[in-house]
Amino acid sequence: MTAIALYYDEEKNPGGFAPVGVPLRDLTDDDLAEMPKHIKASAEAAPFFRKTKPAAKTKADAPAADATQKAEAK
Amino acid sequence: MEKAFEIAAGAIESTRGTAVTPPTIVFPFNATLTPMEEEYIPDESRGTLHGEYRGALTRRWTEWEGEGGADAQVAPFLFAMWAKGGVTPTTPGGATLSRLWEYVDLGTADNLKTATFYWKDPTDGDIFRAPFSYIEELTLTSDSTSNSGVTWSASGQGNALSLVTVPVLPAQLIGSILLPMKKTVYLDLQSGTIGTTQLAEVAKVEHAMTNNISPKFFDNANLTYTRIGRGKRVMKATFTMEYDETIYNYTQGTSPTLMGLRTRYTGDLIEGALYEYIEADVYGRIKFEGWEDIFDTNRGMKLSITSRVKSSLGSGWRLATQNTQTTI
Repeated sequence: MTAIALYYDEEKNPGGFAPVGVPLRDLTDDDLAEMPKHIKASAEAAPFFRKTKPAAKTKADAPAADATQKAEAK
Repeated sequence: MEKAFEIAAGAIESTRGTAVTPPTIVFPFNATLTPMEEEYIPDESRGTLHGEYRGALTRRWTEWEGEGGADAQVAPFLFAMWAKGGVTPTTPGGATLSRLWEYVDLGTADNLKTATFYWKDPTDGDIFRAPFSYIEELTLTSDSTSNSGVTWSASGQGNALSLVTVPVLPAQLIGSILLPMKKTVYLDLQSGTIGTTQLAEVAKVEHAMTNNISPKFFDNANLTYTRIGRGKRVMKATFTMEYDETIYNYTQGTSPTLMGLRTRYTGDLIEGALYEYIEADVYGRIKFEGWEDIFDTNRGMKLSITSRVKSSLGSGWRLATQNTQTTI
């Protein structure tokens, strides 16, 4: 599997709208190489695709289930 | 050039006729842009049987048309060109994502937006472009007797067509499919409150408005129009429903009965209790248009309301759409 060229940041696309011909997932070098020029340009310009991996969610973003699990563990 | 790869895109112009690139919307429906021209061929005496010796183009423009599923996410773009320009959305109570766009045109200013339209299969690197495109007419149609969703069709003109390098295309706006059987239709006396009395047996509804726009071909080296002029317009709602004696009686008599028709096409849930929708209100005299057959055995009646200004509104019609769009 080739390297990831563009990471998909779902949080930046709440509407789930996709550029023509672009899947809403991480895109590899092979994915971009397969795309026609105008579609690759759309993917690279879209605000929800980025060259660096989005930051992992912090503890503050952790779901409430974690707090419940901690209470059960006690 | 393959039809499957064709795209239609657009961008609202801040200055009419000044092309905007890149486009801000890729439409999810079918469209075409067709180059048009007129030519002057002088009728000359050349002493032969030949009909033409020379000619010159006198004007150039684009005719465009599009049709497809009506879409609440796309509606703000088209309504800015068709209904009223310059509208900004409000945030409904309890909303985070939802936005409500409402259009009530007082008819005192020419505020319609024009757009730069793009269309073609772009895989060979270029695309057709028509600046100064306007909507001349748009029709919103629903028919519960067919297998179709709620659809719209629109047409208009643009400046002379040119080929340009494919610009960067934005994400394609796609709203939910709007279904005729998920509409709600209300009919009330204009003296009452619109949206009060729901009709249960409406099979078909159509809303149509022609803008009566005139392109003005003033001096221009490109032989295309440089201005547009506006004429008067009305919105006409036509609906077919099961025979109802009370409503039929509104259409008869020696005085016109003024009513308000509200039609809302509801799509998918956005959040909480807020849904995507497109809504049209038309006020005016209810008129009997004829008898119809509905679902083979039913006797239905076709009625219409052509917009007449309601003084408290300042317009004979109102449009609204709820979606997640914050800008066009």
